[in-house]
Parts: sequence; structure tokens; C-alpha cells
Amino acid sequence: MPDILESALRELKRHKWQTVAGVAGYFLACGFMVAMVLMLRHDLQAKNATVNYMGNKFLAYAPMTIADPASSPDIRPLDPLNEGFFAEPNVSTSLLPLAMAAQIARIVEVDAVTPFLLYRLKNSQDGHIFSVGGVKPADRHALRGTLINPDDVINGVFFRSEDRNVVLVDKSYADLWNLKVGSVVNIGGTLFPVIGVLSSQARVTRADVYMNWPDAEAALSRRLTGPVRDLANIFLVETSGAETTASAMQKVQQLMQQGLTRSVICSLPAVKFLGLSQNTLKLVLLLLAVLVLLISMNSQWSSVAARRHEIAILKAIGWKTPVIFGQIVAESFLVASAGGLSGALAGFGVFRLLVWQLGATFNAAYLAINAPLVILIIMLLTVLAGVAAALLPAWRAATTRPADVLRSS
Amino acid sequence: MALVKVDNLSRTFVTRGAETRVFSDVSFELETGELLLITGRSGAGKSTLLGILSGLDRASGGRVFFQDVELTALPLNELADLRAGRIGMIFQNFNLIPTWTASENVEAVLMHQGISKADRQARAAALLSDLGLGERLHHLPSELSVGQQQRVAVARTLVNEPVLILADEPTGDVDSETAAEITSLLMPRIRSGKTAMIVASHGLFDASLATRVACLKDGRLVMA
Repeated sequence: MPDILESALRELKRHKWQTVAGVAGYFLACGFMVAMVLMLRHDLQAKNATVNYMGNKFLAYAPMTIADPASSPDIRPLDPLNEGFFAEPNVSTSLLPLAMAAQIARIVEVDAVTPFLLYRLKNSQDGHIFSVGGVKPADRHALRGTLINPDDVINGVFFRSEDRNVVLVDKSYADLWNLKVGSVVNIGGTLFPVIGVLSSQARVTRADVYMNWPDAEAALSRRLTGPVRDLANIFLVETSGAETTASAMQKVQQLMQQGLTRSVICSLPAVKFLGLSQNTLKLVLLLLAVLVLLISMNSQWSSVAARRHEIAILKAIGWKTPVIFGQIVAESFLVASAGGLSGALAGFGVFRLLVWQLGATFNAAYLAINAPLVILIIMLLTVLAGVAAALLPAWRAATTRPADVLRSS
Repeated sequence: MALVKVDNLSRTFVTRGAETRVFSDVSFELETGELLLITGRSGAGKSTLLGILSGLDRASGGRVFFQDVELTALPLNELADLRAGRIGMIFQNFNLIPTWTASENVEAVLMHQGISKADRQARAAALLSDLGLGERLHHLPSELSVGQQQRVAVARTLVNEPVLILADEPTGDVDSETAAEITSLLMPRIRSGKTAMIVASHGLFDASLATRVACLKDGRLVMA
């Protein structure tokens, strides 16, 4: 083996311009692949993160139909013209058992679930219509992203599970009615002080005023013909990822029988787009790898053809077929290794330069783990491509019949 | 025991369905210390015969024994082993590798045999110095005269101290002075009884040096 490497190295030095051209080819291919894969992978990760954040949440509810005015006939609004449970502006909903949350949580694709009481209410003083939402602050994971979380607080504080008789208000509602921390909101004739103002962000659903679950049950029960106990009209669901949302929505719908699920963020086309991007990346890399393989095979083939007489002499003086084969493969291996290593490093340099130029920020984990892994994999693939490209030309060289070549020369 | 025994050897080429018989029924024996000169016109099959004896070419019929081993039945890798050790070849047009130095051309025979680089270089340098090329070790063939190139080719053949040398027109492309120089390098090894040589030549080799002379004519080898 050392003899093969030694003679391969010697040959590469002898044909230095051909070697330089070969190394340059692998350098460019590997460098381009490293830079492109790092950029595209990061881009895809960023898109994935966005879609996963926005696209893995939906709400589930049971719409109330005219034919079936209430699934809970004992619990009706006292003022049915102005008030009632709803999910979307024009969709009145039935009440569902709270235990359904546990059933939904058991679905494989579901990451977290929390019940929500969303009620349209008429202010008893000035008659304006607003919405009240009852939440369970303990379900922090499910609430984050779907509805509200402590980070949304602009002024004041977020409520804790044990807080009673206090409310949070949405900024747009607060602005409309000039509400601040310390102001009071009249809900069903009871005054609730405002302890926090929340920013109006894109959510699966929203309310003007948020109450702790027991307060909401008590306050809404006063506006209904019967008490609200262990019931909810909406379930806010978060799935394990955007790509599993569609499947989770389908399973929740089956569970609810006549229920509906709605994802406000249009995540499905984005998921499809991401899949397309990933497939495009794979296809481009595959094409590039095939191109590198063919070009280097062509280069090796030409090199072997040019050295046919030389190879015949070496066979005539006793070099064995495996030695000739090994030398040609070793030459290609050395060229691909040199080009691959330098190209990978240069590609990483270009990637860092682009990052700097674009002003993009990359997390440390990506640079410390993902980037070296990508570089290593592409480098190994380049070396493998170099070896693979040499196999056929090496076989041709090794099976040269010296008698024929020397006779013809 | 004969060093080489050739028994009813024949070679036929088939080109586009047409058979061309080069020679047939070639039989002879060769002992160590002998020099067999095979003469014949160009195209008579002398080089083809040497090619079969060295294992570079395959016979169409008959058998060749070298030190009682049937060459014609050996696989290619074992034939390569023989050429790298016990059988040396000198080609008509030297067949030196043009991009390798004189020393590297000689060392090439010793490569891939487990011999260290230092040993290879030392053996090549010593032999080339013996042949008067001590100052030309690192010269490319194109930087050497025709006679010097042929001496490098001879050194490449002798570096492994082969017991059989097959020489195809070793003096064919050189002037008479260089031809004499080459034969003077080879003859002592034959006369010492350690080596035998078969020379194929169409008349340019000094026949008086040969132990026996044979003529390849009309596909038959006729001993003179």
C-alpha cells in the first residue's frame, strides 16, 4: 500500500497541471456544495421554525346548527340575540365536555391541548358587544402561541392560576375603551380590575377580555340559564409539527364527530412548499454529485488513455493488475481528497462571508454541530465520488494487454 | 532440467473472422548459460514468440515450461511475478517511461515487492553506475543519448538478476558501437552460467555470440 501511494503521489507530481486541474474541479464542486447546502439548510431550518411555530396550532369546536339549536339545551344565553358562545365571528358553538381535552391529548400528533370558553357579551352599561375568554393559565404550553402567554404583556402582569376576580385585556380593546392597568371591566354586572394589557398578535383565536377559568365559569353562568361546569366551547390544540397538523386535525374531527377544526394560519401549503424545497435541494445535490462523478470519470479516463503505453510497460516489467488498479484509484483518491478538503474549507469561508454580507444571524449550535457535519459529509462524498469515478478507468488500465499495446507502438 | 522447454507452441491471430497463423509446432529447450538467437524477417513472429515466453501473450496451442513450471497454465498475476523477478525483458525501442528518470525507470521493477525505497534507490544507482550512468541517475530518457537509454533499459532488466533474459532486437535501433557496448554488458552474465538469453533479431545481432541460432520462417522454427 505505501508503494502504491508513493507511486500515485509521484505520478500526480509529474503531471502537475493535470493534477491541479483535477484538484480545482473537486475544489469548486465541493466548495460550491458546502456553501450552498449550508445556506439552503439554514434557510430551510428558518422556514421550518416559522411554519412549526405558526402552523402547528388549531382550534376545535362544535358549531351550533339551526336544526339543533343547542347541544346543551339547559344552558342557554339569557340574551340570545346579543350573547352566546362562539368560535369565529359568525359561528355559534355548542358546549363540549371538558374531559374531551384529555381525549384529544392522547392523539399521537398532539403536543398540548387546553380548553377555552369564548363568549360574546353585551355590556350592561353602554350596550357594546365584546368577547370574554376563560383560560387555564396552568396550561402554559398549550396557551403559548395559540392564545396568550406572559410574553404578550405590554403593561401590568400576567395572571396566575390562583388569581381571582381580575382580568387581562387585549390592547386593541383597551385602546378602544381607554382601559389601563387598574381600570375595571363590567362583566355581567360585576366589576373586574385590569391587571395587564396584552399585545394583539396573530393567534388562532382571540378575546377582548381574558379571565381565569373559575371566574369565567362563574361570570358566564350568571348570563346563562344554567351553570357552566366542566364544559368548554373550544379546544386549543398544538401539534408536534406543521407537517402533522393536518393529520391531527382529522383525528380531532373524528373524535368530536360533528365537530370542526380550524387552523387560522394557512400552514398546509407552507408545509408542502417546504417539502418541495427539501426535494429540490436533494435533487440539485444529486445532479451536482452525478456531474462531478461524470467529469472526474472523464478526466480519469483521458488520463488513463494518455498513459496507456506507460501502463503497458509497467505491466510488462511485472506490475500486477491489482497494483495498476490501486494506483489509478489512489491517484483519484488523493486528488479528490485535496480538492474536497480545500473546497470544503473554502465553501465554509464563503458561507461565513455570505452570512456576514447578508447580516444574517446563525445560532451557535448550527455553526458548531450542523455546519461541521455538513462539511464532513460533503467532503466524504467528494472523496467517495473521486474513488467511484476512478473505478472504471482503473479497470480499463489494469486490464490493458501489454503485448497488444507494445506491439502497436 | 532445462531452464526453458517449449513444446509444440503455436500462435494464431483471428482478425475479423479470418485466421492468421503466425507459427506452429515450435519446440526447443534452453539451458542456463545459453544464448539462443532467433532470426527471421520482420513479421515472422519473433516478438510474438518472446511475448508468449514472457507471459505477456497467450499461446494458441502447445506448452511452455520455465524451471519446470508450465507458464502457459499460470494466471496473469503469477506471470507478472515472474517478469518482476526471474524473467527480464529488453525491448527493441527501449520502452522507458519518458516522464521517469533513469533511476526511477530501473527502480520500477523493484516496486511493490516489499523492498524499501532506500534499498531500491541504492540498487538502481549501483547498477546504473556499473553501466557508466552514475552521473545520469536523475536524467529523463529524453535527456540521454540512444546508447544511454538502451543502457538504462538493460539496467532495468538486470536489476532483479533474472535467470532468463528475453531481448527483442536489443541492438536494432543503435549504431554498431552502442550495439557492441550492450552485448558487452549482457554477455558476462550469460557466460557466468547464471543466466540464459533468447534474442530475437532480424540480422543486426552478432550471431557469433550465440550458442545456437534458429530461424523462424514460414511459421516454423528451424534450428541452424
